[in-house]
Amino acid sequence: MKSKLRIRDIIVLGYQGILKRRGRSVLTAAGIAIGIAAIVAVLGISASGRSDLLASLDSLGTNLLRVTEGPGVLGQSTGFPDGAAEMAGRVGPVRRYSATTLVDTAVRRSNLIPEIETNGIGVFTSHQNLLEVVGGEMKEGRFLDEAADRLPLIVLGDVAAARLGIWNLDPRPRVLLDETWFTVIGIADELPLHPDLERGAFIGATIADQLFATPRAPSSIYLRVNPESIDAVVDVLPATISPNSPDQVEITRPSDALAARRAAEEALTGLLVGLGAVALLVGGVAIANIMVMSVLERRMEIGVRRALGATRAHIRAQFLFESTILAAAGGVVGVLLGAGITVAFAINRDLTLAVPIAGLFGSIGAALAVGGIAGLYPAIRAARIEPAEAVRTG
Amino acid sequence: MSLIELEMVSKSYPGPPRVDALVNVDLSAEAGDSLAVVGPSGSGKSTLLHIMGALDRPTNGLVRLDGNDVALMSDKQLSGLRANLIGFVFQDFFLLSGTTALENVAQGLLYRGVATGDRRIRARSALERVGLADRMSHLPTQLSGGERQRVAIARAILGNPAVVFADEPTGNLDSKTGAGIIDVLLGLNEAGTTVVVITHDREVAGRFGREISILDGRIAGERSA
Repeated sequence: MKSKLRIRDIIVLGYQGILKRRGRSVLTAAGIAIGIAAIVAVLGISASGRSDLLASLDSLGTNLLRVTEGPGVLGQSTGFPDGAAEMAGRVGPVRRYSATTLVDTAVRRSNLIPEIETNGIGVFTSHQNLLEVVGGEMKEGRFLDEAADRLPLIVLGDVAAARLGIWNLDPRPRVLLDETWFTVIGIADELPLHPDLERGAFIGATIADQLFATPRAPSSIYLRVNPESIDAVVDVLPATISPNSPDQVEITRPSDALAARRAAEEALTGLLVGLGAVALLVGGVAIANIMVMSVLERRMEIGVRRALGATRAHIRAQFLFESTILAAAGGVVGVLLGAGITVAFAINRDLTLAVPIAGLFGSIGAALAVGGIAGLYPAIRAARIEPAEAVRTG
Repeated sequence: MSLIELEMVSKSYPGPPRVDALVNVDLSAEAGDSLAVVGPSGSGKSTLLHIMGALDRPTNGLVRLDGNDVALMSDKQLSGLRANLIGFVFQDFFLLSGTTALENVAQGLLYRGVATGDRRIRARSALERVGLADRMSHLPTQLSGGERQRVAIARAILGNPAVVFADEPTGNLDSKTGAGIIDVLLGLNEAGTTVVVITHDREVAGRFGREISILDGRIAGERSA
């Protein structure tokens, strides 16, 4: 004579137990749902953000170095020597190089604007390959070339163009440098890692020399370096570029800013996932709490089931399954909610949507695990109730 | 071999204060008996019923159900005994709330691994047997006390147990309704099921084949028809 409960009946029992206490079940599962939704949304949003960040890191490249003149130990400023850029370019792992030189003048729309109003726009002479080296493109027109070297032609960074109120090249806009009119032949596209170049205006070296006595020596040098040898290049650059005052050579890696942002976002993501995990844990405690209460309330039911032939294991399975379904339902709702938040956020911020599939399944797994563990103690308690005690009324 | 055999059975609950609910009880019931246990409240009637029905184990003494020594059986084996051999009816009916009469009765075969469809078919005929053919889809709250007790009886007899135990089945019912419930139980007995009923109502007890009086955990007397 054996007592036997079919798997299908365990499922039905758990399902009925939850449906019978609908309001309570919804509230209990809500805790799990919130925790899971938080985790999924945080993972999804950060994955979407990160994929964009990585894409921009990839397109901008992490092997660009920018060399500028720093204050030096004594605060003196002597400037880089002529040909500093070429010398840097001859360092073995340097693949390409470019340079700019600051021109001592300002850009104006007309002579009615006072000369001190520079709009924060810097005027530079630059090598013709500047945009290729820093990873930029033209939005309109063309960059400086051989022909532009000695003519009053100018190229504007996109921020500079916007500040001057120049949106396109038709009809040919002109700007005033000192007392000479320059024709705008191009507007560069955004350069997220180079705010100074976005705010820059570029003219030919020869005409800068004629009009503003601009030296040939560079003020900023841009280098594309073999990625494996960046550290070695950084070590030898100061002495190469400025043998007399190497301490004045300042080397930065613009992609470091992005990398730092990424690291910061990862730290924040970790923190938020941690918070989600705490919410999940609290949801688990809520399930354990409710199930313990449920066991107390359902003594009679447990007694009747035992009298009808349920073994301790059957009672345990029934309660354990109930809390697991509760958690699973919460988990599924949470995943949907979290995915919805991710999609809405990605659309709103125009991010590339990246759904962390592993995260989704992982979260449901986590919900199941939490439900199972939370349900264990109440289920064991339920199974321990003595049948004769449970059915005693008097 | 008797269906139920109790030899020198004692049950005490460790205190404080220590309660001796049963003291050296000898009792046996044969298949087909109808037995009433009478006694005032607190006399140990319910404890006796629980021990006879394998719902509880004695502190001392020997309990044999259908030849099986309860002391030697695991929880699983005892549960198997309850699932297959025994039906229980309680004073407070103990129906599952929010569950129809039919589903309540169908639970009676849940722990025998019978498929849902078969359980329903048998629950239907069990409800017909106790005269509730027109109440199958009613919820417990929509039934009268007598009807609820009939549902509970139907649940207990669903699997054709060898013995049905009823703990004060008429305790919460008026005398006319109670008499109807006793009719149902005696009808079962006529069909061959052993019936053991606890009651404190002498008149009810008088309708059963044997009547055992119990007082302070001891058997105080027996009347046999």
